[in-house]
Order: sequence, then C-alpha cells, then structure tokens
Amino acid sequence: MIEDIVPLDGNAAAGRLGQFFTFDVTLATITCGHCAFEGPLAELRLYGRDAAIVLRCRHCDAVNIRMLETGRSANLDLSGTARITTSAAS
Amino acid sequence: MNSLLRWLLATVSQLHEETAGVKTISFDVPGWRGHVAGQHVDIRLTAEDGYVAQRSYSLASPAGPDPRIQLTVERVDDGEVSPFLLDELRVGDSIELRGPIGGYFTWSPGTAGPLMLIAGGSGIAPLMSMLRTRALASSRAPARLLYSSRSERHIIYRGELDRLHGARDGFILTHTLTREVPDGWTGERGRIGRTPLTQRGFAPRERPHVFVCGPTPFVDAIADHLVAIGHEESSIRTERFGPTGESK
Amino acid sequence: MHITRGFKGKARADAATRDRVPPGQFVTSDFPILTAGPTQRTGLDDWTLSFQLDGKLLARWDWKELEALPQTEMKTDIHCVTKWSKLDTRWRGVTIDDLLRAAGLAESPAGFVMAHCDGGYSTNYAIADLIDSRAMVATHYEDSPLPASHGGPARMLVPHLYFWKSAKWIRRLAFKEQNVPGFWESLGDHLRGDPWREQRYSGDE
Repeated sequence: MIEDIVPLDGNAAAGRLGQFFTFDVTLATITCGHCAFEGPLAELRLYGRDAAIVLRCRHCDAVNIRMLETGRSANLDLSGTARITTSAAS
Repeated sequence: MNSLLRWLLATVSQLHEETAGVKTISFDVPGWRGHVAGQHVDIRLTAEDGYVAQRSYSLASPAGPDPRIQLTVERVDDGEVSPFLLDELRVGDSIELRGPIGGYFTWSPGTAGPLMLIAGGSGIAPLMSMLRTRALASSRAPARLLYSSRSERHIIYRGELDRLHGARDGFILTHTLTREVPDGWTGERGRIGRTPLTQRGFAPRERPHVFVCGPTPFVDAIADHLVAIGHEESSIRTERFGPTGESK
Repeated sequence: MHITRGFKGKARADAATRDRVPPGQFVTSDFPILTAGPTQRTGLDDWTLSFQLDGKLLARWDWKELEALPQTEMKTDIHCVTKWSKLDTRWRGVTIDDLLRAAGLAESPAGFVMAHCDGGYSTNYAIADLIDSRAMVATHYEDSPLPASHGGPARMLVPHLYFWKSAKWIRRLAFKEQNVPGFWESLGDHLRGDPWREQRYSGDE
C-alpha cells in the first residue's frame, strides 16, 4: 500500500478554472463558506485526479470548490465558497 | 472563451538530458503569447483509444515572448506521463499544451526587494526561470538560492547555476545534499532547516520575496521553518508537486 | 483531438484478463489512492456507524458492536473510474444484509441510500445495489485492519460498481425514498456507476 496522499496548491488548478473565468481567478481572494477564512485561491489545498478536483480551505479543510470534467461538460461547484473578491485591477 | 483555455500544438525541437531521470524538453509553440517567470503549462496526451492524461509542468525557460519554451521533467516511477515524456517523445513530435498559466507563483525583474528561492529536486525548474529572467534583464536585485538535491549527480542545471553564481551580480547559490555527500564538499549537508535558511537566506527584516518549490513534504517543512524564523506568511509563495492520488 | 504519437497510458488488460475486466480498464497490482481530501483518522473509541431511515435513527453501532456482528470475507475484483482494475482483492467486514438484520429489519427498505463519511464525502446508491451479499462495511483488507489511507477503520465495499462508490471512512447510511446525488454524482458523475456499462458520467447509458 502506498503512503498518504498530499495536497498541492490551488495555483495548479489555474488552467482548469480558466474554463470558467476570463481572468486568473487563482489571484482572487476566496472566503471559506465554513470558517470565513480569507486568502488567495492559489493557496487553497488542491486534491484530485485528472478529471475531478477539490479545493479545500487551508485553515479548516472544508470544501470550497469542486470541479469535474466529464468529456462532455465542465462542472464547477462553488457552494462551499462564501465570496470571491478581485481587486479592481484584475 | 478565455485565451488561457486554448490548447496549442507544441512541437518538440530539442531534448536534453539534465541528470539521470531528468530531461529538459524544448518546444516550438506557434501562438504562444509569452510568459512571466514562475508560470506553468498544462499538457494533454491522448492515446489512440481516446484515453487522455493531463499534467501541469513549470516553465523553465526565461520570461518573454519567445515561442520556444522549455520544460524540465523528472521521471516519476510508475507514472504514466513522465515515462512517456522521457522515453518516447522524439524531436519533431507534437503534443497539446495550454498556457502560460497562473499569476500567483511569479516574479518579474522590476519587483522591489530581494529574491529568496528554495528548491527541492526538480522543483528548481520555475526558480530557474526566475534566475534566467533576472540574468537576461541584467537585474542586480539581490537573489539567493538554496537548492536541495539527493546527491551531486542529482543536481539539475549545475553548470549554469555555477556560472550565474560566478557572475557576482548579487546572486548567491547554496547547494545542500541530503543523501550522498562527497569528500571535500563545501556546501550544506542534510535537509534544509532553520540554520541554513537563516545563514544563507535573507532575514525577514530585508522583506524578501520567497518562492519555495518541491515535493509537498519538502515545501510544507520549509514553509513552517520560514514562518518560525519570522518571515511573513504573505511573503512566502509555494508550489508543491507530487502524487495527489490518481484514482478514486 | 490530437492523438499523441506513442502515448498509450497504462497498458490495457492483456489476453489473460480481458474477459475479466470491464471495457477500457487496465490491471494493476498497486492499490492507488483516491482523494477528495485529507486522510481522516477517527480513533476506534470515537467511531460509530449509524443507519438512518427517513431521517430517523434506526441503529447505531460502536466498534466493538460492529466486530461482534457476523463477519464475512469477500474476494473480488475492483474497478476504478480512472481505468485501473485490481483483481482478487480480499476483504472482511459486515454485509449490509447483516447490518439491516441487526438493525431489526426483517426485510430491507425500498428506495435509495446515501453514504456519509468523515471528511464530508458522500455517495448514493439504490438499495438493491447494497443487499443480497453485494456490499459490505469493510474493516479488513488482505487480513490486516484497513489503514486510514485506504479508508480505515471502515469503508464501504460495493465492488460491482466503480470504486468511487466504495466510500472511505464510512460513518452513516441514510435510507430514503429519493435518489439524491452524492459528492461526485452531483457534479456529473453517473448516479449508479456500473463499470461493465462504462457508466462514468451523467448521460452515459
């Protein structure tokens, strides 16, 4: 059996999330829907496989963002996110 | 549709073995819109039966508009993408690629403040892009790299790093070896802990921009040490790689 | 779509195993780990398994009570939606049939089930897919207690469906009339997930 899985950074999801946003959303500030922790999306914890990813709060581990690509569609769930904030410059 | 999203067809122009199990692959990418140091690309491989694998790799080549880009790829045993890239890919082959991606783990020569880089193994790739970019811009921004490798023969870009260090333009290189240390070695030994970070890095009061790239356990450990010695969390940018689980 | 010259991915099933694995699968001797999140580590003293029927608690077992129930061994092939299959895996645990009996039900309820796990994962089933010795709450793998990384202390084992249905760190089964999509199903994974029909995504037949 292999050892435990380790998460990557939200930064690595920038390409997939680029299918939904016209700017680099990994630079936006995201507010956790569970604990209200705020930080760059790029610093969320990234779990997942090729077609399915989960981005979790780095403070409380709650699911903030989920995404699944089926080949026919790309599906994004933001129900774990309270708010996404971009600076005016973005 | 976002321009980030467009898959481009990249043609292999050169293959260079860096160390055993590590190659730098050069691509010509028509339609490439240029990148900033530290960004990455997604690559997509499609088998004849429709099976698709997608992975992210950091750009190692310097920032700029040049459509000739480089990725440095390390073999992951039991992987299905890196063995293909290292063993099967030939000059003239084409693969799909999208990018540049990610504005978070990036550095530009105009940035005020020192540049502090900490690399584990092939995590050197995006940091090498930063150092190449800095050198090409003739930047005198103070820069330091702490680079952890398993042994001397695992050091990637060794000659080029030595030359950059030898230029005496404000860049200082420190190697550390974690497994095999040869007689007469003058660099650091063992895993990077608080002492080399303090002695060979910049002090928190110098307000460096800190970039850490390597396998997840390496980055986690370094980030903890950096915060413990007083670096602001917001000054530390991390890029982790490693097995994330391939299945469910 | 651009075919990548020379790229095959992992080797597909060979002649010896082709009839035994669903279409498109390759056989591996590894046991890859999935992850929608960090490994959960619930101590046996704090662990319980609950069954709910229409929102009301039907039964709850602590670890010792679960171990006192009839133990079943299952030797089976498992199939992951990411296309690996693993043959002849050996498990031990308590079948859903035995758990329903222990909960005092003479026959199983009709309808659907949602599995709820530590870490917030969930997955849905038709009850018919869990009964008649087709599924269990597994606590042992290859004669050893199930490690946390593979879903220990206890995970669902529903080997005739894709392995995302064999939810790790199981804590609660909620029986209900409606089929509500779980963690991945609500994003587009198939509601049932039969590997022999390649039911990967919503819209696959």
